[in-house]
Amino acid sequence: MATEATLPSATSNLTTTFMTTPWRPSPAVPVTVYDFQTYEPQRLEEWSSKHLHLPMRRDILHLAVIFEGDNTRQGTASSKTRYEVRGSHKKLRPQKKTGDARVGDKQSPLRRGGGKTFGPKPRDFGTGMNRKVYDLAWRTALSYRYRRGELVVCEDGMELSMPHEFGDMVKHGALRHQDLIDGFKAKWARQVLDGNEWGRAHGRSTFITTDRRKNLFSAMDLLPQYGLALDLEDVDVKDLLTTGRLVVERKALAEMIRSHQSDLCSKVFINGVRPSPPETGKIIVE
Amino acid sequence: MRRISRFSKPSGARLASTVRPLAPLCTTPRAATKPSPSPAVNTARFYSSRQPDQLPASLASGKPAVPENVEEIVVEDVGLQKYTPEPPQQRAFVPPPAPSVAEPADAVTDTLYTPATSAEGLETIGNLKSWWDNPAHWPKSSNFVGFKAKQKVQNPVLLEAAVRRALTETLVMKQLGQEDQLTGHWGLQDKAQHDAVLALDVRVDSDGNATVTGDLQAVAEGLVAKGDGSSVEPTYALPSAAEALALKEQADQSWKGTSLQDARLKFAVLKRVMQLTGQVVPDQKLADIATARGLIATLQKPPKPKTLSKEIQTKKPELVTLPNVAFSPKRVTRGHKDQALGRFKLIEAEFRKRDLQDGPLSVPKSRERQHWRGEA
Repeated sequence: MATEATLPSATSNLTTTFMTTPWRPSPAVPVTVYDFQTYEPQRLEEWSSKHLHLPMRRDILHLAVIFEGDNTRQGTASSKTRYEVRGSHKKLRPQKKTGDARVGDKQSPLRRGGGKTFGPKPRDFGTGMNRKVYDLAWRTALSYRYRRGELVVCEDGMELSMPHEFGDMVKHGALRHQDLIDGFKAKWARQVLDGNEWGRAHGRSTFITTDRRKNLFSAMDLLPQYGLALDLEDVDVKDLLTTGRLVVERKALAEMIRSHQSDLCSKVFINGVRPSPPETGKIIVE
Repeated sequence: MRRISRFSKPSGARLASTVRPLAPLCTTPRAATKPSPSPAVNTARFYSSRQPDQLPASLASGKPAVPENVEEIVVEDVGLQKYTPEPPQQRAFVPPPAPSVAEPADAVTDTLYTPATSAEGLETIGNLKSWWDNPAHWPKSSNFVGFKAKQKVQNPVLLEAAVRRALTETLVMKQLGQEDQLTGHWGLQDKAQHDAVLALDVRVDSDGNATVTGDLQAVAEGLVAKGDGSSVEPTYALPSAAEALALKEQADQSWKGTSLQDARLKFAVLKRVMQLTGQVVPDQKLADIATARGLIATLQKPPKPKTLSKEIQTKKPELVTLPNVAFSPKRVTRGHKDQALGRFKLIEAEFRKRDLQDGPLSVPKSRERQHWRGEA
């Protein structure tokens, strides 16, 4: 039609810009590695966005937490039916002519001490979840923490260093009472956590290491209001989401990601080669 | 994933820890800089019969001054063996003395001695659990000192001054070719050295590349100098707010255009800023910081208010002063309504009269836990 107006040129330019330059998120994100106790930055690394910068998926996190909860249930509740309750199954009194209500045996569910109708029996409450979805949930939880600035990566060998005087005192037998040792450890750990803004006033922290560290774990056992320490085999998705921040040993983070990336690297060999997972943990500044 | 729920370790299994050498800690105390106080709202109408100009304790900007609980503690001599004290220079922490046992009453030779029949007048002693709470046993000088500044700086002017100082120092090290020192640990200097850093001239070209002129060598030496431990280490981190403001007005602002695209440079600047101000920039924001100006803006952004009531007071104070709106820092419950009407004290008085309730009506949260543990 002759009355049709052309679009303003500015709009069309904008449209072409959007069309020609699609959004390309960065393939890697920076991660600062700190010294554990002093919180001094040690180096800067680059980790894959597919590991630490996934979009938030609340639904998947929910599925994973429920799945874990189901599988953690003991399922040992048990009660006896009328056929399992001990005693004679003789009829308590004649059916008629006593003036009382008619009754059967002593184990009837209607009577005190009788069996339980439809009571609990030991069973497995466990549910299933696709491995790739569960692994995605794991990395989504880590990404959520990263994005909120609640993922503190520390150098390997994360352990609470006690002042050397403490060791001397223990060696010389000055702290033979457990209360003195615990009190010292708790106070020192409290100072470390408060100094780094990891403590109670800042929402507690979860410390994750590859294995159990004596000082750190015993100190955190003494300070449940300041957070908790977990080794790798004890961590699950719910733990990654609970406290104010995660303070993770670098090796533990790498292992968590390595064992939860089944959706990123197929098990199938193609031309004799298994597809490699995304490169991660590259050192940028040291 | 664990298949059984987690149980806490029995306390009996706890062992005395082994000793590890102490990691090198930064022992330099930092200059304390108080965060800027949030504006107090005087015109708020609170849901209470209390004075309207009095801000509730939970909303007061500063923490109430808690007196240090200093108690004189004497240790019970339970299960302690003889301890040979260390030389005084190694005794920052004071362990309990070696136990001593009083002679039995019938063995006392003093004829004036009369055995006590009541505990009245005896000195109250603490227990070993609170031994380390006594400042005489754990001096302040032995407290943990981390890398970042103890007090977080939130004053925008001071933050800008800190970035200027960190950037200049980093540029000096880079310009002198001491690349390996960029990621190292730099000490805090005294005021003269701080002024020497600020006296350096930073010129930025159109690409954001900066050049520093002045006595670079002296600044670099001051940064990497290791204290010999003989003298008190300098504590000067940042100027006062007024000095920083004066410096800002004097200085040419073109230094803010310095590019921070170089990852090594950015890392060094952020590390120094963390040491000076206690501000940690989250990793997620690193990619967005391209210039010094961007870094200043990131640092100056105020933290998110922790509660809705604080957010309303800081960001929308006009809502608090509305004449037809009552503002309450916490959810208004039946108790608050009773208090506002003056009914609450009557209820308490009636309880007291019948000897039913001694003290406030609220039950502490931990009471149930105490019951579980068999403590109360």
